[in-house]
Amino acid sequence: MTDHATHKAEVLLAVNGLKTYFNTDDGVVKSVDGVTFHINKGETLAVVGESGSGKSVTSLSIMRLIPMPPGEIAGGEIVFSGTDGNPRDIVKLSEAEMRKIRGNDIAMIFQEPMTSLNPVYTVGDQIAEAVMLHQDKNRKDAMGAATDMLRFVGIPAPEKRVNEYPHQLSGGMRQRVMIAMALSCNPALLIADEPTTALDVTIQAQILDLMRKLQKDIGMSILFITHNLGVVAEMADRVVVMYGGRVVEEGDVVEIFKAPRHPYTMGLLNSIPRPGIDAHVPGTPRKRLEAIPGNVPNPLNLPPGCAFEPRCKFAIPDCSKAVPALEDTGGGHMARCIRWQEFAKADQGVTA
Amino acid sequence: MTAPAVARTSAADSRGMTQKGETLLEVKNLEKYFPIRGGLLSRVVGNVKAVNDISFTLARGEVVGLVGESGSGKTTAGRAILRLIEPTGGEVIFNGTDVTKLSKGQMRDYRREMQIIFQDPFASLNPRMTVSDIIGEAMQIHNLNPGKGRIDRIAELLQKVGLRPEHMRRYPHEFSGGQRQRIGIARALAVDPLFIVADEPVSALDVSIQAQVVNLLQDLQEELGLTVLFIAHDLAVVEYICDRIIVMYLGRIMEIAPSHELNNNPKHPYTEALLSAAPVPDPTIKRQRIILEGDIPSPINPPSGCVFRTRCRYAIDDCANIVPELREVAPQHYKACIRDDIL
Repeated sequence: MTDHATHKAEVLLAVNGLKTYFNTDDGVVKSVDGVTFHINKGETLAVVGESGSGKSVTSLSIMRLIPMPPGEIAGGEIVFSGTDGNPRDIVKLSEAEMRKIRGNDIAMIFQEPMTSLNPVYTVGDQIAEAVMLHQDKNRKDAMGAATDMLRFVGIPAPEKRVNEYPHQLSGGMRQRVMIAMALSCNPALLIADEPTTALDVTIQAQILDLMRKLQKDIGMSILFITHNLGVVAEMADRVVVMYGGRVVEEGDVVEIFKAPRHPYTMGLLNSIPRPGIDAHVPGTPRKRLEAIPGNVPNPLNLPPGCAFEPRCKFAIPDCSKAVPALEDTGGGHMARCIRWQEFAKADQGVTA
Repeated sequence: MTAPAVARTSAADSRGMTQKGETLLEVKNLEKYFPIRGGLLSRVVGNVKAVNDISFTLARGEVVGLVGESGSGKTTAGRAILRLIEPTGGEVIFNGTDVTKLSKGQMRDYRREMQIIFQDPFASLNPRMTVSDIIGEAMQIHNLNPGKGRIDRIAELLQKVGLRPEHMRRYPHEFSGGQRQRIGIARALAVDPLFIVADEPVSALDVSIQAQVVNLLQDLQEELGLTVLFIAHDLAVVEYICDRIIVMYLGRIMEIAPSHELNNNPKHPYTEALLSAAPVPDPTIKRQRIILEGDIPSPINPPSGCVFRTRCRYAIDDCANIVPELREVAPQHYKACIRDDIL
């Protein structure tokens, strides 16, 4: 994962200056405000953020699933190179052209599989529908393909399960069905929006294991949206950290965890207990988590400068003057903080 | 902050309480079966054995974690202990009294000592009540701090949980998730309880807010000397905050051990798998993962013998025949597994 040659890799999807706004009665909510990142072919990019960070709106913008109105893509481009290597801007495509990409070249799985599956159709019908729509197969062949996909994602007795309804399956099984459906057309990009958040840890381990295996087999790219830093460490090649609708840090997964340059990323990493390492030993003084004070900002009323400034322990008066630029701290590691150089120096001081 | 703590200890003493370290709560063979009715006459055709013969003790001032996946019975166990749902069998001995035998009126007095913090801070606060009504309701029921003193006490509680006294006139919708959870904690503390069941108190919160609430719970526990049963599925948080951990699976206890001991030296195959399944927030650590096959079986028809055997990689023939009893395999370390030649 670390030897991944990011700069040489081929870019599959490039999001440039994306702005997705929602017009509400209370004002314009800038859910995504000038977001730029890219995903290379075959890599897993994790987008990390809390509620209101804009991570889900970014993924829905890529799928063009933002309800308009009240939503609008107010600026920027989403360039998708696709399987044919022919770059096009998703923002400018017609709905008919988009329909060809959606589900075929870019597929998506969601957090709650029960609400994403139709309760009145069998899982076979639902997978076959996507296959018939995109791959010009008849119903019989499509049902055969559905059975193969269920087997592919590790569902036991797929010949039987293909005729069952979503309620007959467990949560983990349903997420496997969602993955089978998403992968049925061999997408170049899989967007996974918190795919394991609703699952138990042992089932989460199964699904993450499955996603890794399938990625190896098919060679697709994965855009993995999550708030769970453990899952990020496990799955991602590169990481984008979002806060208040903007990218605040981006870089290789090891860099992000070992040498974060944005105080929000540092705060997130310090605020979670690490399994095993932080276990309480009776008779010893209790450790304390380093909590980030305050709350996630109201998207209607973001601070004028750095969105994290009111909660940041490193904030100085300059932080509230203007939104800091996303600067390259070296080797493709980007941070949106005016003090990142000081953090880099402090890090070197520790290692020297 | 020390003054109320001292006052509280003397108040607790006057209620004839046990000293720190002594057993405060003893759960004996607790059972909660939910009947399944079917057929023309709606007869009971089976039982969901949500909690099936569990026993453990909590010492005064101890924080004990109750972990398990969905369907393990951890939430049902927590509620059955408080009699928020009636247990169908077993005893819950709190401070020397079996609370399962008490009448509703007698139980009310005990409710003052036993409080709960819920998972969902959005669903557990009445949207039509102000914060002062929410926190003051229990005080009113138990006739505590009457008159002007009640408002002072509410203000004090709000400050204790990191909110401001002027927040008491607001409604729940005016607060964020983390702040609502603080209100839920203030409500639980309003009656000066000895024992709190915290049912997944941080699971619904954003990551950066979770640490605030975990720290708050830890501070309050220490300051007030509370005994806490901390129910959660996130092992990292439980290990961090708890002295001991109880691991449940399909209504039964698999293992009980001190936090660090459970983590470093799990004795039950399920605990081993659960620990290895938790993703570690460090990309340079690559762990050998034990992937459990399949799903948790139905509690209507649990496997014979050991309930975990259908997913256990160490299962032998005897596991289907013998219900393993929870036995001490090291000091303070209990497991329910017949095999001693593993782990």
